[in-house]
Amino acid sequence: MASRDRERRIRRIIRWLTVLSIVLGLFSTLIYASGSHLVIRYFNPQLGAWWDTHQFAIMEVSATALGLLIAIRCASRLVEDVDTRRRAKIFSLVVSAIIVIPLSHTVASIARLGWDGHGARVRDFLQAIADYGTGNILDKIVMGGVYFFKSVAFAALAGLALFAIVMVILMSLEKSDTVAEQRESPLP
Amino acid sequence: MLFSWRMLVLFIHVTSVIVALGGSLFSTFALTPILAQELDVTTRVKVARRVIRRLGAIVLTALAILVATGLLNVMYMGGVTPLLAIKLVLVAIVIVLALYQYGSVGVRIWRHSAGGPNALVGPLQARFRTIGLTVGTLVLIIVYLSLGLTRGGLGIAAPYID
Repeated sequence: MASRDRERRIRRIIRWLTVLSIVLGLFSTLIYASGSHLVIRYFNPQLGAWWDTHQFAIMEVSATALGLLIAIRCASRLVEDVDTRRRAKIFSLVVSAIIVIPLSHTVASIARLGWDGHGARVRDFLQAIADYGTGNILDKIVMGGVYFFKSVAFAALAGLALFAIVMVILMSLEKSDTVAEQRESPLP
Repeated sequence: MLFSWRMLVLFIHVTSVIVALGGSLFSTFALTPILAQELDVTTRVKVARRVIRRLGAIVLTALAILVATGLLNVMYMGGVTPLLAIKLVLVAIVIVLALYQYGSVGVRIWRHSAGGPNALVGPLQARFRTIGLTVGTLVLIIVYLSLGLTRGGLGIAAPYID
């Protein structure tokens, strides 16, 4: 019963972190892509300047955190044992918190690759349905959005790998039981 | 050039595939049939549950290394093509299946077989084998796609935009 409660508490923490990274990620992507940091600067110049300097990092860290959290949430559903699942979640969360910033640099580099295959076509289409200026802004938002989702996808892949390693560590920690079990009843 | 960081990353990447795929194929097609023929039920269950545990650690580690080196390879390639995107999706599916195989089915086999042979273990072992074969097939498809990316001329990098 106690382990179920603890499991529920961790699930709630992960849910809140997921919501936080979605909100922060989408907000920073929108502001970054549309160049709306000027609005923040208009109301509070210091905050606006700070936001302008850090908005890309905030967007990337949010995307990476979201990817890692999605991977942890999905992968933990595949673990049968409640205790192992809880331990795997805690362990993964701690490791994710440690690696999220360095991983966000890698994810940012990888997510930058490949977009523009049909970039001009998308921009032309957006300029056709809206006017030139609005189309340009929409194009930047679409590009920023795609970049954000690509970052999330790559981070999720890394998160799955991280969870696999965590499972291996938990499995090897259980190995001591196996050795004890073997000593009690050795193989013929 | 005999040594470069790119070569080293690629070497570790390929070695991980060999370990993950080779281990699964050896277990499915060599070890399990021989265990079934040569050992009595009690001993077979004891050996099989330990093999599942150890193989799980090896395969999951290999898959994690595969992803880490794969992401570095993408950086070296300098582009994400549709073929590479399909490959990455398949890799994600393989990891999910492997986690299910060892984290759920494997754990159930481990638990049910703790007290010796158990009627519940048979169907679970069959499912474990099916998932293992699916994972193996997907990994082979991934290897084929990788050949397409590196040798088949399908891995042309998209323009780099900053």
